Amino acid sequence: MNIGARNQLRGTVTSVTLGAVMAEVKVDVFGKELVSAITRASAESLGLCEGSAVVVIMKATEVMLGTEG
Amino acid sequence: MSPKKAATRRTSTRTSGGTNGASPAPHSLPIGEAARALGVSVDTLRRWERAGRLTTTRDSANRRLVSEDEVRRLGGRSISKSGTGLSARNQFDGVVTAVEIWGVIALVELQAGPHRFVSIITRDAVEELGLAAGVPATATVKATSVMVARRRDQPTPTPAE
Repeated sequence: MNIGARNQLRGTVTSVTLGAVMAEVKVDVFGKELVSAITRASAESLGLCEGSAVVVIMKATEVMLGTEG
Repeated sequence: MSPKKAATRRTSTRTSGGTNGASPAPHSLPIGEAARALGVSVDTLRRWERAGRLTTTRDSANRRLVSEDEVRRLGGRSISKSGTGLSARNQFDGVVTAVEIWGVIALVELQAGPHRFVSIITRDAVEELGLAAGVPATATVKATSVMVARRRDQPTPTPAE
């Protein structure tokens, strides 16, 4: 599958917390923690668990920028 | 935007032996981040260290680290997960490397440690924030905007029951 998203970071899942509908997936990307909220169904169909090798994807239009002060 | 959140995250996260050099000791900040948290320059921190006002430690690559306690003692803004007052879970501090303006829209590239981010924002926002190559900025992404894909080239761990 090819994805057009500009921002793709490789990482490793450090935790998956399942809720009723959603799942919170924490991913370590080179020592930095990233949090993704996806549906529980997606997390289960991907078989995500601690140690899963993943790519986190962020559309460029979803990345906000801020400056100090 | 505050750098503290990212700094806290970086030091409190288990590292996976990344390629970006030695990891800071737990609860310590690289001197550059400590300087940002304190709102002073790295040179100032080195001067404080020589004058005995600041205690630093060294990482395995002999780079200076400043403990979060030291930063707090010196009046750094509190280092906490909610330091930005923003609910977004994902923040990456970096430096703008390129800005391309296309009509009303701008494409901004940011280098944050080993990661390169591309952000598409309005030209107005670029002008309002004064974004240009070399300007420090923070990339923020809501958790619900972060998708996850499995890497099929890697072995699959067995989910715990």
